[in-house]
Amino acid sequence: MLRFAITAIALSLPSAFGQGYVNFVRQQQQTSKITWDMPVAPQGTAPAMLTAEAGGALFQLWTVSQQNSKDYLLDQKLVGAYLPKGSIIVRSADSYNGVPRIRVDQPFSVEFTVSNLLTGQNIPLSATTVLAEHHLAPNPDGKTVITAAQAIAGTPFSSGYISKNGVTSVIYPVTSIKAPDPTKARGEEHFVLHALGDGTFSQTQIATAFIKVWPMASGKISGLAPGTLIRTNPPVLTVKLDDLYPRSNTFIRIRSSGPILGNGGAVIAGSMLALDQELPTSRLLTVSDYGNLFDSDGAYVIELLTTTPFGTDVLDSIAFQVNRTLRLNAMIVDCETPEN
Amino acid sequence: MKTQFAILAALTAACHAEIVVTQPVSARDLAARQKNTSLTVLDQTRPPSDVAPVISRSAGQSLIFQSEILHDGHHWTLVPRGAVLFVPKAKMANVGARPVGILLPWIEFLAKNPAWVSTHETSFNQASGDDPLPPEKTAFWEKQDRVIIAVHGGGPISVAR
Repeated sequence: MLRFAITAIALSLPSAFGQGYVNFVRQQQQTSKITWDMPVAPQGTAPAMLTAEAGGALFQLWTVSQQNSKDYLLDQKLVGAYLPKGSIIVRSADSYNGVPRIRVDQPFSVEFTVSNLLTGQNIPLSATTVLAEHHLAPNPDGKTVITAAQAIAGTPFSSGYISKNGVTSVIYPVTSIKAPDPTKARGEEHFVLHALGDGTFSQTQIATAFIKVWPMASGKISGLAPGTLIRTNPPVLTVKLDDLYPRSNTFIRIRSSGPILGNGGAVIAGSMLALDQELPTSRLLTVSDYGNLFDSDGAYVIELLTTTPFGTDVLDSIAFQVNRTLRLNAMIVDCETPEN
Repeated sequence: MKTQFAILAALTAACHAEIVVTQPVSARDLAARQKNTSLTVLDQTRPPSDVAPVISRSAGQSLIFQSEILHDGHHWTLVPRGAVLFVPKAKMANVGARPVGILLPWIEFLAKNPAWVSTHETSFNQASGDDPLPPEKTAFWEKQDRVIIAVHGGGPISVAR
């Protein structure tokens, strides 16, 4: 009896599939063609009741929308006595517990782990080599739900063969998803391990994994022109923030002008925006009453900064001057009224 | 609440700690870096074989298309094609129609409709067609008015016939 861990698949579900969807785990025997729906809880493990066949068994995780009856194939695995086993782990610097995610400009790695590959003569092709594929699923509007089946349906972006048991790691310096402005690309990168079928399997996927790719944040401070001389109360600032990373702290800081961007300075109260969520976000902030942060007259820089798991970036900065010393230019005139 | 504290703590630390600030990568630099991302680092030589490997992808599949629909007018569910063993004439309209109402998992649908849906525990050999279904059962189904669904371990299963 096979034991199939549903937990691993359930954890990889896009969060879009929650309430309002009904899940089905369907097992299809590749030789006898028997199809069985496994009674499952939303998460957990359940034994596969059907015996292992030489041709393998295909496990598919489906979800169906209760609203419009649309079905989505979320994941599938082909397992069998004479098939190699595979798993894929995608790692990034963001320790988020859900689906792995990364920013377009940051590196990530993919670990393909393969076991049960055989070497020798007269061994089926499916037992000697697996095919690794990399599929790109751009999602320019960021709203469309991309299912795993849709993402890996087309021609892969790249592929390669693995014929040795063990871990094969591939490091990606940045995302491969293209966009007119590469810094604003978004979507998913899917990785698949296929058994090399000879046509007797209806499906060949033995492992899948994917990573979500989010754009770089951008921001603009308005209301203060570069080089402005502030003599009285500083102007009200409008701050436009776009595509803030789902886990980020964004704030505005004022510091004395200098060649080094970075340390020191003071954060404007009310400018701090802390995010810990699933999706990027855009905001419009208004900032005022920061005149008390000027210690003395001189040259200053106002900086819009965002801190993510990948570091702190400057989204915008404006240099300006402060001169609030009241200087009176006066002349004393002794004015006497002649006595008559 | 814990998350909010964690965010606040991180933010406070960010405000007071020495921050290493970097300038974001430009669009041009990012486009240049993308040229080095590919699985071509793996072996590109297809293993020698008499037959070209067949790689299947999951496009165009549909769970609903590969299933039989059962509905009671308010709820519906699906079972694998071939799992419906018997449909009395009076219940023809409740099987194989378009989805109507609220989708339920098979177990919940069965619990709501015991009056007209029943099950037959089916062995693996019966499902594969190696063993026939018991003749006394198939004869009995003709004399009753419930839809009979083949199940194995509680889950509906296709039966080759």
